[in-house]
Formats: sequence, structure tokens, C-alpha cells
Amino acid sequence: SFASFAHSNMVRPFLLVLFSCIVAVSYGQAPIYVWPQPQSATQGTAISGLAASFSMKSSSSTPSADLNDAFARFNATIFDHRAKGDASSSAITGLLVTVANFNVPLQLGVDESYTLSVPASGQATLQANTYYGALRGLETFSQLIYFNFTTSMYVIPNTPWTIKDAPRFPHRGVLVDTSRHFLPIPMLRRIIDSISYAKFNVLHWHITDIQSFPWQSSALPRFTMAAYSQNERFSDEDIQDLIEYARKRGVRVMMEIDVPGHAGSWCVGYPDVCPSPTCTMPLDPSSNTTWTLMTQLFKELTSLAPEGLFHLGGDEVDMSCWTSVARVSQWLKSHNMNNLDAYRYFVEQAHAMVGSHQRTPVNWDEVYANFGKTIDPNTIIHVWRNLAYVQNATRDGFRVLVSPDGPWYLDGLGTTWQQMYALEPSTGITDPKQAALILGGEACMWGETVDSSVVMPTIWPRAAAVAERLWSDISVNSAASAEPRYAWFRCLLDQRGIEAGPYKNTQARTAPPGPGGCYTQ
Amino acid sequence: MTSIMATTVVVVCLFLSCVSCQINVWPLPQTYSHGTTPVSVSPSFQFTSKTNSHTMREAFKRYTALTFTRTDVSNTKQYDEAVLSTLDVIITDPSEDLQLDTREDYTLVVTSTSATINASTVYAAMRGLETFSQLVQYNISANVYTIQQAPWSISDHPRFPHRGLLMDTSRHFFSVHYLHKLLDSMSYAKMNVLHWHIVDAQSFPMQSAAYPLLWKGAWSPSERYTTQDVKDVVEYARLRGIRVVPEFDGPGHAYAWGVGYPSLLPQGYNISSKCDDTCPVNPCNVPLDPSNEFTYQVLEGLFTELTAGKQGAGIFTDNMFHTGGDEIEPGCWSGSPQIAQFMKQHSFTSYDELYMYFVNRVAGMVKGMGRQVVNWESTYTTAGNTLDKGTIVNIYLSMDVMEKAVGSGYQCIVSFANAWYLDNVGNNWTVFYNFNPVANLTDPSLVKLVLGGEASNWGETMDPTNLFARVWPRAAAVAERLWSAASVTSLTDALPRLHAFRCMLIDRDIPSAPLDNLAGPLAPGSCLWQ
Repeated sequence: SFASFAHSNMVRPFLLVLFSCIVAVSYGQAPIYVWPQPQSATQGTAISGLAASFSMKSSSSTPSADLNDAFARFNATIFDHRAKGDASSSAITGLLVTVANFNVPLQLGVDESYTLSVPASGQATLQANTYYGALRGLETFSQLIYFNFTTSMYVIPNTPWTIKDAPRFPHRGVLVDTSRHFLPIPMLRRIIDSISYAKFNVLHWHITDIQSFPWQSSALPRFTMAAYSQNERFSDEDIQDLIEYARKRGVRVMMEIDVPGHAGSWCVGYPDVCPSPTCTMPLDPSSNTTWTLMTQLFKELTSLAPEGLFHLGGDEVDMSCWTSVARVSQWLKSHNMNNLDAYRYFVEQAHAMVGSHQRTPVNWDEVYANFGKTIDPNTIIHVWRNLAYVQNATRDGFRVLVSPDGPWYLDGLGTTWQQMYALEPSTGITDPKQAALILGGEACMWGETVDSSVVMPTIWPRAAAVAERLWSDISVNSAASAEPRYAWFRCLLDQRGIEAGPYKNTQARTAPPGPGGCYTQ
Repeated sequence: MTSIMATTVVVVCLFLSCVSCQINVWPLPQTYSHGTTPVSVSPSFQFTSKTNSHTMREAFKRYTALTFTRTDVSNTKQYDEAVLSTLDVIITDPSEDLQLDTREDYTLVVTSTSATINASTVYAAMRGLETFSQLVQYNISANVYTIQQAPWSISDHPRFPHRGLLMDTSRHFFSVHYLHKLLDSMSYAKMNVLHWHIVDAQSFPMQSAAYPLLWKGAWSPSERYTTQDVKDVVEYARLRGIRVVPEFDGPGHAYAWGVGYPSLLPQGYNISSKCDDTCPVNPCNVPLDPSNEFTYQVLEGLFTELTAGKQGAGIFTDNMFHTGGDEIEPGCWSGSPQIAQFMKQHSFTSYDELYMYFVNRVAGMVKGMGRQVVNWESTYTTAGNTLDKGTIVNIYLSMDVMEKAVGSGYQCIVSFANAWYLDNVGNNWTVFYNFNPVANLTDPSLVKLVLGGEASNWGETMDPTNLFARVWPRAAAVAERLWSAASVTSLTDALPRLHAFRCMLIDRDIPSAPLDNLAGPLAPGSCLWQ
């Protein structure tokens, strides 16, 4: 029978809407159905309807196109049913948004704090120092609103609310890989939409790899010969448009060009950057074309992407081709280099190239593992293989990003959200100065077995676990306590048209085992 | 007629001496010919029509966005040929009533300087616009939209008038967002019917003003459709030339009705191996109580609300109204003293008689509201030729039954489970493509009684996670079988076109599965070959 529905814990968020006082009595302090959990929140026991005239307004006399677009977007997201307005005197009449400074650019460390106050009646207010902080507050506000199907009204339960919030880490990302499978612009846009719902603020765009080179560079048109097909390509305009789309949603786009490994697709259009046709990687340091190409490529890409961080990869460099191909090994000899020296030379050259465009280099942890403190101290180390590198690299003064293979690799379909949630990036670090060097982390959606057909349910809902770990207070770490909210967030994603898999899945993106409601599966 | 057209295709192809006659339009048009000249499309290209119609304007908006996804295309001419700057749509019949008999035939002519669609109706024009949109390609290197192999001349019409997708919103809920997107995707394959299996044993997600407790049977208070949501879906579908045929399955598959109104279910039924009420676990097969007048009162009240009691009106305006009628488990009726009493009064000696009593009463009700009844084949297999002749038989189990039914003059819709059930995840697109719903019919007058068919998307193991990957690309195989000429059967010819169609779906943000693996790709690769 329907017992499973009626007696389920999952019924709580809905009872909150309809009978919040009863819930407060029956269950004690009602959980805060916002994902990721705000740093601090107080709530009341009233249920407030939204007036027919409800609108979001800026308190600034100078109109902001960004904020007006954001209002339109949030209105479309929140109000997905035609509703009646609350005509009573206790209705919420609007949301007044105050942004202290609209001119702060979106870069690492941008102020994302906000204060949201929703009274039991009258005007709600949202205050933020920057536009990007206002976006986070709008997202929280959107999650407080429910459609009451019985009264056909939008309501905010548990008013009055006061929420003061700010992220724990400044860099909260999702990596997408458009080389193993091409993801078209509409899908990338939707991924950006979806990550903004969880207050992620970085799309790490691993745009090229061995398998394909989908970027149609205008300066280096032969790169695109390694695209999978005519249509599976991005133009410079596509990239610029996507970056602007992301910026409007408070999402930085960090480009990655992985060198000298993972660059086999380069030699399709430019064969002389590879040691030999059969031994294609890593890039050939003896070829002048390699250096010219890298210089031009970084120049073009930094002109398209204003992001201050530039990811240079540097992982999984198998140097055997440098030994086996005579041309390369002779060059190394004549330059008094061994393979490792050449690897370091690549890293340093790449750092200098992006540095000349005022970009901060990011490298996978192999670069730190191989060269330690001898590389540019400004380099950000992206740890993926072993969390010990987080401790060691921060001890050596490097800033780090955390994406442990296993816990935070979304392509590990057997990794559960609880495992993702349990990972604490600062594990083993006691010195607060060292802990402060952890900029944040990323959930990585590597694309070998992921294309447009499955990318959303492979990312969602599990990436939400990483989002909360990176946003919420360190003490918010119990998966058991989070589970009802996690289930609720999954349903919110589904409702917004983001194909999130069943939250009970132990294998990501698998179909539900049988009939069921979204909150129970 | 069909065979002549097929011959034309062959002749045209021989004339052009092309090897595979490959054009990347899905489903394949009935007849087409093309040249060898590439035409570039002007950045200021516009669809135009003398017909002043909101429906037409909405279609133009849609196809402008679908065809020209990039806003920054070059203003410079990339080819020596003239630039195409308009497509003019001429409509013969301005009526916008959308029903089974609505015409969908069109011609599309594209020369290097002009493009024209001549269409019977605004809905036929949409089919032509879809074809046009599939001919336009973006050339990323030149940053220009082009049409290859002009001039084009396409004359097209569907083989069957009813080309549907069944969508089950009871076993899992799908917000309106997904239904809209599903309708979008159907229009890309020229499918024209959403068979909305809105309620079943597991949940009743739809609002009713007449019986406001019915949607207590929803999975949760938020997994529900308001009346306005439903109206929006129906209008969204109409704007895309898609009819919405609602299904209210009874007396079986109806347990969820009893959540809000327990007396709709038989009183005192006994749980047994045959009678199960462990919803949401299958089979959960407690049927409605046919002995209770209240049952008919609720059905009449709900259906009147949905149809406004007359043809072309109400929330669901389609002439077809599906009342299910499949998989009745009389084991649940056997424990009820009221039912025993009722059967005695009516001198029913079998549960089949009780079942048909229900079916006939409901059919009478629906006919009285100006609708044509659709039933699953079970009512026909039970009643045989005594079933009301106006009933459309929806075949799902047996093609023999279909042959019998059309032989006796019934109209049929084919949703053959072995071939066209999308929840059979082991069946790849070729199984769907290879199935011919009229394979064993030779008499053209009998073939005519087969209105078409449906890909059936049952929802037991499907939710938003896998909706689109379950439907696409396999439903496209059904779409082509129902649209294109009977002679279009080659898997080899279809394969590259289907790959191209799948890539197009992905480009249009429909997460279609790889052809070779429904659950996602097994290795890196292109949408063109996976």
C-alpha cells in the first residue's frame, strides 16, 4: 500500500509546508532545507504566502543588467506553476536586493557572503557585498520557496528567516572533459546552471586530451583536425559566450591545456610536435613548433578567458618516447638534460608563458611530487593521487586544490555520495596557516564513459556532496543528518529539469529499481 | 501509391549516381531529389508567411532558434552562389483544429536563391520546417550556415496518421519541464501523439476539481500536476502539432484512485497470490469496484471535467480518449460480498461479464462526451466482435489479435510489446526498426484500419535519470517506420542517418543514448559512431 510514502521521513519537507507547527512539535528543530547548508540560519514557525505583486528589486538607483537578468532567471526557476498570490496582509511582498559594489570582478576569492532576511510578512531583504554574493543569496531564497498545490500559492515555510552565509572555501568546482566525449554548448550551459544551484563557482574545463581536440582555434586552425567531427567543435565565440554565460551565474571557467602529456591529439594537425607518429606523447621538446604552438595557444586562450587561474595539467607524463625516439634523446643529450629535466623544462616554460599573461599556473600533483619546492611558489597544486600531497604541499607553502581520485572522481560510478561527503580536504592539517592554503576542490567528471546521454545523472546528485563539503562549515559532516536534505535537493534538481539520479543509488546513474517517488528512491 | 514513390526515389538516386542516397533527414521523406550545389544561408535569414497565425509565428520562433543556434555568424558570403535569405510558407487550409485526420503533407523546395514550403495545414508546415532545419548545417570553419546539395525538392507525407509515444507518469513522476522537453524531442522525429498514461496503480498525480482527493494518490505533495499544468502541456503539444491522448486505465491499474476515495476499491477484497495491494511494488493489481455506483459517478465527474462533456472542448481536446481496460485481476473481486450481490442481480456468471459491464458503461460515458474510445486489446480479446465497433483497439500483446480485429472492421493502434516497448532495454534500435505493424496485411482496406502505432515508454524503471536515453534514439526507429515509405527498411542505410539524428538530438540538448549502449558509452568516441 502507500505506507512507504505516508510513514517515510521524506514526507517531512512537505509537511513543513503544510503543517509546519505540527512538525516543529513532533520532530523538534526542523532541518533547514537549503543545499549546501548555510553557515548560520534562524527560522520561525510561520508560513508566509507570496503576494501576487511579489517581485525582486534592486535597491540601487543605477540599474544592473546582471542583476536584472538574474531576477528573470530566478523568477523562471522558482515560479514553474501558475499560482494565486497571497492576498492576506501577512504576505511576502517582495525581495529587495542590495549590492554594495557591482564592480567587483569574478575571480578567485571574490566575496560571496550574503545576509538574507525573510520576515513573516512584508518585504524580504538580501544584502551582499558583490553581485556574486547576491547570486548565492538568491539561490538560497529560491530554495526556501515551495508551491502549495492545495492552495495554488507559493509559500515560504518557517518564517521569519535570517540567514548569514559565506563559503568555507573560495574555489568550489566541477571538472568537465570535452575530449573523451564532446559535450555541446547547450549541455555545458545546463551543467553551469546546475552547478550554480549547489553554489559551485568553478567550471574546470578540461577541453582537450589525447582522444580529441574540439577547440577550433582561430590562430591555430589545424588543431581542430583532431575534433571527432565537423559538428563536435567549439569556436572561439562559443568559448567566450560560455564564459560570459557562466560569469552571469557566478561561475568562473578555468581552462586546462594539459602539457606535456595527454596532448596526443595535437599531432593530428601538427605532427612535428610529437616525438614520432607511433610514439606521440609527451610533446617533443626538441621541436621548435612545440614551443611556438604553446606560446600561441596560451596567448589565444588567455585572450578568450579572463580567469586568473590557468590549468596546465602536467600529469601522467610517460617519458619513454623521449628515450626511444632518437631525435628527442639526442636533443636532450645535447642540452645536458635527462627526461626529468625536460619534464621540468616543460613545466617551467608553460609557467612562464601563462605568467606573461598574468595568469596563475595550476598543475596536477605530479609536478609537486617530482619537483617539490623548486618550482614557482605561486603555482597551485591540484591534488588527485594522494591526500598526503595536500599536507606536504601546504607545508611547503603551496596553495592547493583537492580532487582525490576515488572520493571526488564522479566517473567512479561505485563511489557513493556518503563517501564523497565524508572526505575532509584538511585532514591531517592542524596549522591554520597551512589549512588556509587549501583553496578548495573539485568534483571531477572525466569523460571516458560519459557523454551527453548520461553526464547529468553521473554528476548529480553526488556532486552535491562535494558542494556542501566545500561551502558549509567543517562541522556539517554527518551524511546521516544530511540525507533527508540530500534527497530533497535531488528532487529539486529533477524539478528544475536537471536529470539527477536516484539518491539511494549505490551505482551512479542507474535506473530506479522499481516504481517510486522521487523522495523515497 | 507508396510503391510508385519508392520507385521515384530509386530513379532520382540513380540519376544522381549517388552510392547510398544518403540525406541526413530523419524520418526519411517520401520523395526527394537534390543537386550538388552548396548554398549559404544569410545571417539575416527569416521564415515568412502570409498566414497570420500565432501557431505559425511560434513555430517560426522555435525553428529559428533550433536551426540557427549561433548568433554571431559571419556576414560575409562564403560561397559564390547566391545567399538564401527567406523561407516562405504557404498554407492551404488555415484551420488549426488538430485531430487524427489533420493533414501533414508538405513540399519543400530549396533553390540557391529561394526556399518555399507548401503545406496543407500549419501542422504540415511544421513537418516541413523540421525537415528544413535538418538540412541546414553550421560550418564552423567558415562561421556560416549552409545547405549542401541544393537544389532540393522534397514531397513528403506520413505513412500513418497516428505516430505516438506513450509516456507513463504514474510509476515515476516527471515535472512538466520533462513533458515539454519530451514533446520538443518528439516533434524532431515528426511524432504527433503523446499517449499520456497519466495514472496507474502506483500514483495519481493529476488534480481534479470535481474529485479533489484523487491526487492524494500522488507520490508526494509536490509530485503532482495542477489542472493548469495539464492545460499547458496540451497547448505546448498542439503548438508542435502533437495531439495528447489521455489514458485513464480501468478497472485494472487503478489502485491509486483508492488513496483519496477508498470506496472506489472493492470492499473486503482478499489478498492472495492473485490479488496484491503492496503498492508501489508490482503488481499492485486491486481493480476499481464495478459494482459501486460511486465508481461511475467519479469517472463521469472526472471525465466531464476533462472533456467539458463535448467534442473539441475541455482540458483534453483530442477526439481519442483511452480508457485502458487491460490486465484485470478478478482475484480481488472475489472477496467482496457487494460484488457477489451485484453479479447475482445482473445474472453475471463470470467476472468477464462484470469486466465488460464496466468497460461498456465507461465507453458509453466517453462516447457521450463526443470522444472515440481507445482500449488495450484485452477488451477485444474478452468481448470479441461484440465490443462496440467504434472502439479503437490498442494492440500490445498479439499481432494475430490485430489481424482479427481489423478483419472485423475495428481500427487499431499498434504498440506491440515485443518490438515497441521502450522498457525492454535489451532491444536495440534495430528491433524497433525491423518491426512492420502491417506485415501480414495485404488488403489495402484493412491496412487503412491500422491508424499507426506507438513506442511505449513504461515507467517502472525510469525516472528523470534515464528518460531521454530510454526514449532516444530507439523511438526514432518507430517514428521512421510510421512516417516513411514501407520500402524504407534497410538497417544499413538507416544507420548513418540515425547516428546523425542522435548527434542532432544531443546538439538540441536531448540526452539521447548511444546506439550501441543504452546505459552510456563504454569508451571515448564520437556521437557519430557510438
